[in-house]
Amino acid sequence: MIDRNSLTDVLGMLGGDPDLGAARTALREREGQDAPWFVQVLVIGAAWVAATLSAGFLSLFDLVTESNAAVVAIPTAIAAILLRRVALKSEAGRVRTDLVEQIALALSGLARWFVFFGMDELVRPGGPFSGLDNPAAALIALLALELLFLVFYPDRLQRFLATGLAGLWLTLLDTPLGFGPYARQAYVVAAATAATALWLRPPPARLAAWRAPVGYGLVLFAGLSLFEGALVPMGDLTRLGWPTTIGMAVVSLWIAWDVLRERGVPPTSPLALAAFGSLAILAAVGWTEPGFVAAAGLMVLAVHRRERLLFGLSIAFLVAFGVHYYYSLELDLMAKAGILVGSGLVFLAARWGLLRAFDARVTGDGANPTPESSGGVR
Amino acid sequence: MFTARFPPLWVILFVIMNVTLGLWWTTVPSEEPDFTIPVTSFGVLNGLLLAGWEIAERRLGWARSPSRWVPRLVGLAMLLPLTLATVIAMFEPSIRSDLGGGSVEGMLLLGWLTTPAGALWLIAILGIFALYSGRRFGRLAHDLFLLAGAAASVLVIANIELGRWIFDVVIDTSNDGEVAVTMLLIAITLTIQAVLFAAWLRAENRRAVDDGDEEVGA
Repeated sequence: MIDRNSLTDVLGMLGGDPDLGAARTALREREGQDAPWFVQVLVIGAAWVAATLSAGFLSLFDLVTESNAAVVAIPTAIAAILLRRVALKSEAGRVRTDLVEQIALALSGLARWFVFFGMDELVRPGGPFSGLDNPAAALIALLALELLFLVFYPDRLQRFLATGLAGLWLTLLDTPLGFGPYARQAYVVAAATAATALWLRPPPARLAAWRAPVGYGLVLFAGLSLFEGALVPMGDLTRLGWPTTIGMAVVSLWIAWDVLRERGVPPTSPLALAAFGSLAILAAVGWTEPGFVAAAGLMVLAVHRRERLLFGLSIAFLVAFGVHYYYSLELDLMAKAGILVGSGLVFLAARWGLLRAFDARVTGDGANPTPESSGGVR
Repeated sequence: MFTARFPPLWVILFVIMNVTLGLWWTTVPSEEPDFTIPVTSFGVLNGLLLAGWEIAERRLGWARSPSRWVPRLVGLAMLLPLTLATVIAMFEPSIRSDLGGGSVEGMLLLGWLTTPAGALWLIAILGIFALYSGRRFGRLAHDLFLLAGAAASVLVIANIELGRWIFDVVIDTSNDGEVAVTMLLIAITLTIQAVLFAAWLRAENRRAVDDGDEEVGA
């Protein structure tokens, strides 16, 4: 999630706005967080634990109860957003500024807790969510809160979390509202499609700050949904099946098509057909494991956009889904060993054949798909 | 030599070694050991693998890797079990018994540091801070990822110890007011600690980038 922009890029994002205050805020938002993503994860983890403890404090003193928690959540969320904006305008790198940012993060976590525990009041007869089951009301309110943070809380990690959590709340809504067997599969495919669009078709400059956090949030939501569906099914959530595999195959084919187009390779050329065919075979062989073809597509996207973290995620997903697929095969160990050896030989043969058939020809056309020239993932 | 320069193969080997250790603990020991010992052993194994990797990378030309993801992964695999084992040691009744006859009054603050898990955790944390911040004992490598991992581990241990000490020794846990104030106190302490650690890590990041070490925080 580290994509440091130059000053020119940041000013460009402002769309020519001459307001230096706004420029400084944008610069702080993009470059002031010069901490890598894992430092931000550490900070937000600590903030959420602090929020949980603070919720305990307020609850034990009856300052916030089930009857007023949902109402208190609104000013808490607004306070979090305002504090974050105040911190952005303050001098970067000072402990006081960092403390304000940390309190804002803790308040954002606290607002989520309040919504979660305070739904009884809102679902009472005559209340705004009257008639809904409590879980559905809480999930809808949490979804609204995530959208609020996504739009108004200017912080990359918060936007990433808001995106991922919004997907989670939407998924969990499936059970109480009974959206049917295909809703969840539609969310996952839609998330993968949206994430792909964000990387392949960058949004306008004024929305550029949302691209990486929302993209990563969508990828993680889709990946973990596939992971949950395949490896550790929870409760009575809908299982992901062949419609998801078809959706993921289409998204992966779109990625491959776009990469080839950008490199000047015609979609009807043998190289393009080989790429499309490989993805189609992968989807067909692993039709019960939609994560397979999704991870392959993600890997192509990561290499194409030179996103190292995305590449790491794709490797992790590929390994997880590969291992699960291997263990789900209802065969004896000798047969599985034979499949492993056979798969290795097929891949080696495919590599040899593809390099022999296409490498020199494509280089000759001026488009060079070799890792050395494409840069790959650093 | 070609395969030895392919880091994923080393990771597979490390995973197999960890699985082997896990299977050994489930089959070989005849007596039920103190639970912290098996958990700690995973930390020790991965600590040795990390040390071996770092030494090889500096001593053996062919072992030099352009990226740091393997030592980071192995470093996490060291920190996680050591932190978990230390947390278990803090609450282990037998360890309490050794330290203070099992009574709350007799329990020593930081007594868990005398256990193998606690002592090894401290050594690992001090080692990471000393070797990866590049300030002392020569510059091994700027590695903000491992520094952040160690900082997270310190946050976990320090605040659990603070809470354990306050809940067990200082306050009356049947009094809701005292429990609530303690929770707020720990929340404030945790917030300040996180801010200070983040400020320090950012300063390390800037310093490393100024030194031209691009790999540090990537």
